Amino acid sequence: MKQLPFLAAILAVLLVVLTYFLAKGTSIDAPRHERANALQSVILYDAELQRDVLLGRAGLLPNYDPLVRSMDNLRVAAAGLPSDDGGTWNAGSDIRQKTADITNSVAEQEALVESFKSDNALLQNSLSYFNHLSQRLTSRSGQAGVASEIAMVTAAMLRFINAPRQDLADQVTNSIYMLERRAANLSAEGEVRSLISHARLIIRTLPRVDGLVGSIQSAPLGSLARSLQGSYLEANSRATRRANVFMSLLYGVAIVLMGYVAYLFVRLRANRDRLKERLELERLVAAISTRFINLPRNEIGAAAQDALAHLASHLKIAGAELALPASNDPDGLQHEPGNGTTPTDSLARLIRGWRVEGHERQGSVHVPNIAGLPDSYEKEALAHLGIRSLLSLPMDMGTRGRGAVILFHERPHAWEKDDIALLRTVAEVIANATIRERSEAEREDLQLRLNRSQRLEAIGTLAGGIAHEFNNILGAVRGYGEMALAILTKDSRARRYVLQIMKAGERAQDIVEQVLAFGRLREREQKLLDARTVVEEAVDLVRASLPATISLHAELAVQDAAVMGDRTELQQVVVNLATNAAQAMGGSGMVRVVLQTIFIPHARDLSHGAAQAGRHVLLQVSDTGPGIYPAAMERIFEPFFTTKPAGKGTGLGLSTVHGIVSAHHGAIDVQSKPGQGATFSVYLPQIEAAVQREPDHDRSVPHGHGETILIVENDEPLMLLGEDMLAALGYEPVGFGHGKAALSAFRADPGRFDLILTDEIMPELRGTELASIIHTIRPEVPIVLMTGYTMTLKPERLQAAGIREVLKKPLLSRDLGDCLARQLPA
Amino acid sequence: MVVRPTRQQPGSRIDRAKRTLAIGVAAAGFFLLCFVALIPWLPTAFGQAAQDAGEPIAPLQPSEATDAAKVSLGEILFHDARLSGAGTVACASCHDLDAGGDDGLERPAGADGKPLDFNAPTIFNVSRNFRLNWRGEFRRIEEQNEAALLDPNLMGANWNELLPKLQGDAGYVRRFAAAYDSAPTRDSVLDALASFQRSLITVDARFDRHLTGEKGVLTSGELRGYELFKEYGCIACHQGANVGGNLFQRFGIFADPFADRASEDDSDLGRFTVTGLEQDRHVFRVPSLRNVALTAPYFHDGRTASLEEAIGIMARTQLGRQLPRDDVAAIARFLNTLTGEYRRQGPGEAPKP
Repeated sequence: MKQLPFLAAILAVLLVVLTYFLAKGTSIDAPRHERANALQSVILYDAELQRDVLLGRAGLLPNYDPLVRSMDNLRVAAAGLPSDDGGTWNAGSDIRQKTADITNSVAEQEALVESFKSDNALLQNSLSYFNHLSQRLTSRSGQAGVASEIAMVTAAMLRFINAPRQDLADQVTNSIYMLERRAANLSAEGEVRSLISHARLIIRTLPRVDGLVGSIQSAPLGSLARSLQGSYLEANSRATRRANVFMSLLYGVAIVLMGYVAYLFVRLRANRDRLKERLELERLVAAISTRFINLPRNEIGAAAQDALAHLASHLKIAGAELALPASNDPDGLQHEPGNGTTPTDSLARLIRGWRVEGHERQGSVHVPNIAGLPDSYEKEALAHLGIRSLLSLPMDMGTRGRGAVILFHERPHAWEKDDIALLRTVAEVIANATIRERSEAEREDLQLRLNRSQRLEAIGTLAGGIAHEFNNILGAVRGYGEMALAILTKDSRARRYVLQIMKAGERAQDIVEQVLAFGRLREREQKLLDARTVVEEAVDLVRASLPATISLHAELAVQDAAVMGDRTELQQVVVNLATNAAQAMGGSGMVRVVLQTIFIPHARDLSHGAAQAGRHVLLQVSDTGPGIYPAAMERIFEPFFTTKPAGKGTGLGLSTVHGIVSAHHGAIDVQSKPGQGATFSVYLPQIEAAVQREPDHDRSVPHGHGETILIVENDEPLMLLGEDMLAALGYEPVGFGHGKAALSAFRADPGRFDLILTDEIMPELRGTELASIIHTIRPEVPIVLMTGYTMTLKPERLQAAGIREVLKKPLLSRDLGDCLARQLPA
Repeated sequence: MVVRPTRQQPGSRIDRAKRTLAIGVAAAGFFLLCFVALIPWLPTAFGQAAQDAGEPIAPLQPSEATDAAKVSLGEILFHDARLSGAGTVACASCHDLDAGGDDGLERPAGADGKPLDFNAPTIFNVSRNFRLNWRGEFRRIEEQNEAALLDPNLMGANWNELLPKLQGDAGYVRRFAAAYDSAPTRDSVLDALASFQRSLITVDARFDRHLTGEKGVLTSGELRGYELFKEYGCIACHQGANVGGNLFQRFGIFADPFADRASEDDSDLGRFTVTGLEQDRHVFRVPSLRNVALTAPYFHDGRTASLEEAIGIMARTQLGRQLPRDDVAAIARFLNTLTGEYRRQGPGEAPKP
C-alpha cells in the first residue's frame, strides 16, 4: 500500500484547507458585533449627552445625574471599541487611529462636561437668584434711590443674556458700576451687593458656559464615531464578502467531495460487480480444471472445445479458439474443426509468431482494440475476419511445441489483468491435458511398434537359424544330387527322379535365400547408388511382368537421390512392393511409384519403425486396392504371413522388403484404410556428399527478358552486387535496403514485380515474414529466399510463406540464372 | 305550500351571547396576563416618570443584587485589621458603619501620627458618587481601596505580605473558594471589598419616601427647608440621587474660605494637586449630602462639626449670601430628612484568627 502515506498527506492538506476556509468563512464574530454595538452606544450616548447639556444650559435639567450617566456610558462604550482588531478586520491603522481619536475625544468631552457642570451650576444659580432679587429690589418702594439703576442693570443683563456679546457685557458692567456707586450709602447694601456679585458672575460665567456648550456641541465625537462606523461597515462588508468567498469555497469543496464520494460509490459497485464476475469466472475455470483431471484420452479434444465454448459464452465474446501444434510436428499446426464462427486455421496461423509491440506479456498477446494498432498485414487480416479485439494465451507444451488459446471479439474489448491470469490457467490446463493425451497415445504407439519389431526380430532370428541349417542341408542334398546325376544314365527313371529332387532343392534354396534376406543374414555390398536409376530399372522390370489391366505410374523426377546400399536388394524392394501392390488389387487398378527427397526436421515415428531426423530419399508405392485390414497390419511383415490363398505366394515378399530396408538403416511406413488402397513409404537416409555434382561450366546460363525483380538485401554492397547480377542476366532489378520499404513498394503496386528475391536475415522484418505477407497479398508471385543458413529453415515454414526456392549464399550468377529460369519460364 | 325549515332556533341568540361573553372573558384574561407580565417593569416605568417630573433630587435606588457570598466576605475583610501592614487598622476603623460611615474626626491620624490631609468621607453610598475622595482622583472603588490599602500612611499593607496572611487563614480560604473558586488573590480581595461597599446604600430616607409620593412624611418645616434649599441655590450643586457627588466645584466662589488661614495646605488646593491645572485650584468633588446629619465634622478639612455653621459657610462662600438664622435651621431640618437606613445584606461573621 504505497498510496497510504499519499492519502494521509491529502487528508491532512484537506483538513487544513477546510479549517482555514471555516475560520475565514465565520469572520462575523461576536466580539466584533459587541464592538459595533459599542460604537452605536458611543453615538447614542453622545447624542444624549448633547441633549442633556443643552437642557442643562437652558436650566431644564433637574440634576446632573443624567450627564454623569451618559458620560460613564460613553466612556464604557469607548473603552469597548476595538483598540486592536486582532487581525480580523484587516482595516489597518485607519480604524485604530479613529478609535484612538474617539477615546481622546471622549476624554476631552468629559473635561468639557465637567467644566460645564461646575460653571453651569454657578450660572444657573446666579441667573435665578439675579432674576429673583432684581424683581424684589425693583418692586421694593424704599429702594427708589437705586431702583432705576437696578432696572438698568436688569435691562442690560436681559440684553446680555439674550446675546452675550462683549459690548452688551460692557453695558452691564457700566450699569453695575453706576449701581455700585449709588448703592454705597444705602440700607439694603447687602442684597444689592449680592445682586452685583451675582451679576458679575453671570457676566463672567455665561460666555464661558456658552463657549463650553458650543465646544461640547461641536466636539467631533459624533462625526468620528460615524466615520469609524463607516470604516467598520466597510471593513465588515469586506469581511463579509471575503467570508462569502470562503463559504463558496467551502461549498465548492463540499460539492467536490460529494462528487468524489459518488465516484467512490460507483467504483465500489463496479469493483463488487467485477469481483462477482471474477468469482464466477474462477468457478468456471475451476470446473474446467476439475473436468480435465483423469479425463479419458479420447474425450480431451472435445472437452477442450467444450471448455472454450463455455468460456466464450461466459465472457460474452464472439469466440475462443484452440491452436495446437501438430502432433507429429511441433512447428506445425494441428487442424482443428473449430467452433464454426471463424476459420480457425487462418486465425491460428495469423496469431502464430505475431509480434505486436506493447501488447505482449509473458507470451500472451492482448490487443483490446485492433483498430488502434499500426497498419500491418495481420491487422488487415483480422479486420477481414471481423475481429476487433483479441487475447492470445500461450500454451507451452515443451518439446511438443507451442499452442495458443485465442479469445476474440467483434467489438473492442479489454480483458482484465486478473482475468487474463485466470484464463492462462485454462490454457495451461488444456495444454497439460493435450500433452497427456499425446504422450499417452505415443506411449501406446511406441509399445505397439516395439512389440512388432521384437516379434519380427524373434521371427527373423528363428527363421534365419533354421534357414542357415537348411542351407547346409540343402547344400548336401544338391551336392549329392549333382554327383548322382553324373553317374546316372540318361533317360533312366532314377535320373528323372534325381532331377526332380534337384529342382525342389533349387526352390528350397530360393526360399532359404529369402528367409536369410529377411533375417538380414545375407551378405550385401554397400555402394553409393543413385536411387533414381535403381528404381527406374526395377520399375521397368515390374512393368514387363504386370498384366495389361494394371497400369503402373512412376514419378521419379528427383535429383540427388543418393543412397548407400546394394543395387540388387533395393531393386528387389521395388519389385516386391510393386508386385505385392499389383497382386493386392486383384485384376485391375493402378500402382503408383513415387521417388522424392524429403527433409524430416524431427525424428518421426512411423507405423513400422522410426525415421531419423535429416534428409531422406522417400520411395512410395501405393495401390488402389482394398487396403489392409487392421489385424493384418500387425503381421504384415512377418515371414510366411500371407492373405493370399494357399499356393499363391510364399508370404516372404514383404518380410524380405522389411529385412532389406532395415539393413539399409531405413524405415517403412504403411498407411492404409480399408477400401482406399494402401501406401508403403520407404525412408532411406540420403547421402549428402552425393548432392555435389560436377558443375558443368560449359552449359550456357539462361537469360531473362526484362522481367522486374524485387530484390531485398540489407547489406548494401551485396544488394548492389545482386542488382548487377540480375541486370547482367537480362532482368530489371529494383533493390531495397530493408523489408518495410520493399513491402510498402510492393503494396503500392503488387502487379509491378514478376519475382521477389529476398534475404532472410534482416532487422525488423525477416525474409520469411516479408514473404508470407507478400504471398498473402499476391499468392501467384514467385518468391525466392537467399540465405547462408539453409539448415535452420523449416520446409513447412518456407512453404507457408510461399517461398518456392532457396538460394544459397554467396550468390552465384549461374545458380541465380538457373533458379530464375525455373521460376519464370518464358 | 312550501314549508321553509326554520333554522332560526330560539336558542341561537343565547348561543351568540355566550360566544360573545367567552370572547370577552378570553380577551380580558389575555389583557390581565399581559398586565401581570408587565408588572416587573412598572416600578421602573413610574420611577422614571417621577424622576422626569422635575425634582432635582431623586430617591436612592437600592443596590443592585450582588453575590451575597462576596458581599459577606467583603464585610469580613472590611472589618479585619489584618489588612493593614501593622495589623492595627481596619477599613472600618475610619468608616464606622454605626456612625454614619466615617470616624467623626476632623482628620484622622495617619500611621505617622500626624493628622491626615483630608477628613474621612462616609463610606455609605460611595458607589453613587461619580468620583471618589475629596479630589475625585479615583473612578473605581477597587482603585481607591488598593490605594488606601497600600498607602504607607493609611493601611500600610503590601500584597506580598497580605495575601499569604489571608491564604494562611482557613476561614478565608474556604470563603474565597466559595465566592471565587480560588485562593485569595489581589483581584478577589479588592472585588470582595468593593462588592461590600457597593452594598452600602442607605435607602428609605424620609425625604426619599416623600419623593416617591408618600404623604405626611415630612413636616412643614422640613418642606420649607427643602424649598429654601432650592431657592437659595444650594440645589445648583447638591442635586441628583446622591444630593451632590456628581460634579466638581470650586470652594469659594463669592468669598475666600481660606481667608482666615495663615497658610494654605496642599489639601486646600483640591484637584489642582491631582491635575496641575490652574482652573482646578480649590476645586473639590461636591460631596453628597446623604446622611449629612451623621457625618460631622464637615468639609475636606473638617473645619466645623456644626451642620448650621456648615450651611452658613456654604451660603457665604458659594452663594454669596448671608442666610437668616431661621432659614439655616429650616435647611438643616431638611438635611436631616436625608438620613436613610443601611440594611445589612445577610449575616457577616469575622473569621476567627
